[in-house]
Amino acid sequence: MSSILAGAAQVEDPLPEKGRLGPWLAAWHDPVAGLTCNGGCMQFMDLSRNGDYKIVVACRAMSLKVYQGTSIFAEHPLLDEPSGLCAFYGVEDNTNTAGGERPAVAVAAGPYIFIYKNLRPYFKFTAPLVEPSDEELEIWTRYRKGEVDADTLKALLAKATEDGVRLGPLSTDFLAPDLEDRGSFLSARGASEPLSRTTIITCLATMNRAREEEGSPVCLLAGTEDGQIVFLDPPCKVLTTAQLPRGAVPAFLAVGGLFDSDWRLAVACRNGRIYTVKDGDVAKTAVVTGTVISLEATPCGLARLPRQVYAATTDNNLHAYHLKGRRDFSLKMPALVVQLEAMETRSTTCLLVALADGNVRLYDAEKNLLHTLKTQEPIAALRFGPYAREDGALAVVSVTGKLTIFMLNRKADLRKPKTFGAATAGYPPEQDIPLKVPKKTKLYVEQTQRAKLQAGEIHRAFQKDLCLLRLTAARAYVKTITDGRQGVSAVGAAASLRLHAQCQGLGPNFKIKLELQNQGDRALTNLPVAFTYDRDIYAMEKGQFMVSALIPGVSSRHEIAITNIDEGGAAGSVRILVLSPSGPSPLVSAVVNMPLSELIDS
Amino acid sequence: MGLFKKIASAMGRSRGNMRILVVGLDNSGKSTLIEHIKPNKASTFEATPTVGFQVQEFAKNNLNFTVIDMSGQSRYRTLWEHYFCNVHAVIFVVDSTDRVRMCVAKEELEEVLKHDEVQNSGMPILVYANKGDLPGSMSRQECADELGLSGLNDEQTPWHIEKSNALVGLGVEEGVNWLVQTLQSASGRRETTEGRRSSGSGHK
Repeated sequence: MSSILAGAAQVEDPLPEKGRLGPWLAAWHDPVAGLTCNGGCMQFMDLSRNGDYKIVVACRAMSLKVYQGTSIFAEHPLLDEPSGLCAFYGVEDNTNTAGGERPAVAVAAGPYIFIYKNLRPYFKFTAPLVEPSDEELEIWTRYRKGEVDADTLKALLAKATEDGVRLGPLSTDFLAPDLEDRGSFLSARGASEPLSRTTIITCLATMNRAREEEGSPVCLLAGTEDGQIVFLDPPCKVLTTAQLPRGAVPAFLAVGGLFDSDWRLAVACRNGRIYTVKDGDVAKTAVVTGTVISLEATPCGLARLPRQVYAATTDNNLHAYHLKGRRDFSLKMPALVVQLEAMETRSTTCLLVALADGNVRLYDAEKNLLHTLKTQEPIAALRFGPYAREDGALAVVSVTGKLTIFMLNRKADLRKPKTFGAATAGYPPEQDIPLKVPKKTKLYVEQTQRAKLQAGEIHRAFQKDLCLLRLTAARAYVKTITDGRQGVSAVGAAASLRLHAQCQGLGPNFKIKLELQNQGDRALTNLPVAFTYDRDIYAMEKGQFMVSALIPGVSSRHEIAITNIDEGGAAGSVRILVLSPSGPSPLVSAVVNMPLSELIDS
Repeated sequence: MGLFKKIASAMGRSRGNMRILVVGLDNSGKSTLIEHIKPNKASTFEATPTVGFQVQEFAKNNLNFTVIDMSGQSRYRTLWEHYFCNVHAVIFVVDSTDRVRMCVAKEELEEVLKHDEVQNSGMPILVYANKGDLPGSMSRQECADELGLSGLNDEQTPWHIEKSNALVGLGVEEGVNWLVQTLQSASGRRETTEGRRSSGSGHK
């Protein structure tokens, strides 16, 4: 039914681009899949053990969906909202004599791990109870011995909460503000109820037991809200546990190694730290090592490649760490990272980064961006793995529940970044091409010899010529400047101007009268007129103005007010420049020698 | 050398030798299909994934068939390109129920069509849309569209798509008949054109 639906909808909502997308082939798009899950709740699994891999998804809508090809293979209701999903082989099956373990699916929900075998509920594992903290235990012991009364108990427990102690359900119920009758509550539950509490499973992962091959027995890892990592031999046997420091709540697990030999587990916690857990000296034990990576923000993705651990943080950064905790590099991402996924192919290992803007970036282990896959919508979950008899498939679930599957092209070369026109790394190829150095001629050798022997003379001759050159340049410059002073500009007959300027008045207020006449045979427009003067002596309202048009033969008159501001009434000169609208040199200039100003008796 | 090869190939064709390469994705039914082309079928045939390739030789309808059955698993698909020389026709088998891998089949078919030996030699391509009996299988036209066959130049690469059910041999015979006819008419055409041409320019 779903395939028909999907087929019908495909007509209306086609794939963004059909066919080849860099190393990917667009295989299938189901816009009405309606999957609500994050990356931890989706996995590829060969459930039938016939080489035809399926997608197992635990939806937040409390259903377990299995996709085969382009249709739903099976759907089962879940008992609770899932927080993680792991598909693995390794549940012993007495009926199966042909060898090979039966596939099973583990779904974490609340404090339980539900294990499904043949897609039927098979086992329920409950996370171990958490013992109460010493503080809480001591308070209740004192109460039960009769040392403190109910009010003191409440005060002590309230203080413990403020100190950051995690209380069990008995204490939190007792402290609840809407509890009406504390006396009857204590008489009913206070005397005998155990203080230990259940915990919540936050993340799931699997670690192979003795062999690397897929399909070999595994050990199931579950992180809990109380900072515990529980190692399970499916379905129920607890092999060992590791306790993280207080306040560390595991959010992501990245596994490397084999449980029976040696292994190393990176645990990204909600407190912004990555702890490393590894095998202890005694077989089948786990120890939290001293290697702690402090991130600058809360982690939102974790992935492990053979040599590095990658962590994405909520400040849009992607960090790569060496396994021992040294940071290799950081990359800034254009959007929030939704998920990191290691992509292992037969030839290489790459990193897939799913971004909230709908792009999937593909990096190689040397942080080269190989390809960016654009999907239309923000991504909710992403997985890479074998699907439908093909070794490399990418399943992308968007936030609106669309499921898109891409296949990795067999011919895709994931080693050369240039293949897909992406960012190039390293030095440019031109660097390898040797320069063409011409051979030394006899003349060249002679000249060099001469230069060596007569270095001083050559230098002096050069300096002398340089001085002469500078002198010629300076003379030419002075000539250009002074050319405008004659009253008639030197720019030729076409633009010849006549400027007559005179000063009127006794001071301190003067008036400069200008008369401009165009003596050429062409009209001039937009001529700037500027005044230069000593600003300590004179003040002008406007140091420049524009003459909009000068018709040949017609003189234009202008009057400009100028004030002497010098206390002693000193006299100076004002220079008037009529500039060319196009070039830097003045067309004409005039100097007005100002008379001595009358002093004002103030 | 060129002349020798030409004579040999002409003589080989006249005796009715057919070398056919069978390719396609894994689990598409190539080996089962070949089992039905063979005249004397084995009483019990159990399909197992082919490793590498298998060569079957048999005589049928006065023709000597040499069928190279390539493995379709992705790790063996790199072998395909080495077997195109001296082959008269290519059979591409596709699982018509496997919608999700149609894009991979298309990609692999494009690789085949791009191959030097196929591209310019006028080698016919026969596509079997296999598993046509299963529910949810795609029709002939759908398969041809998905594989992008309609865009092929029929003159350059003669092609034909046949819906088949390799388990019972439905449609297998029709496809082989088309292949034989196409090859015979092509060789007839070639003989006439080569007769007109000066010697030494036809074959490599």
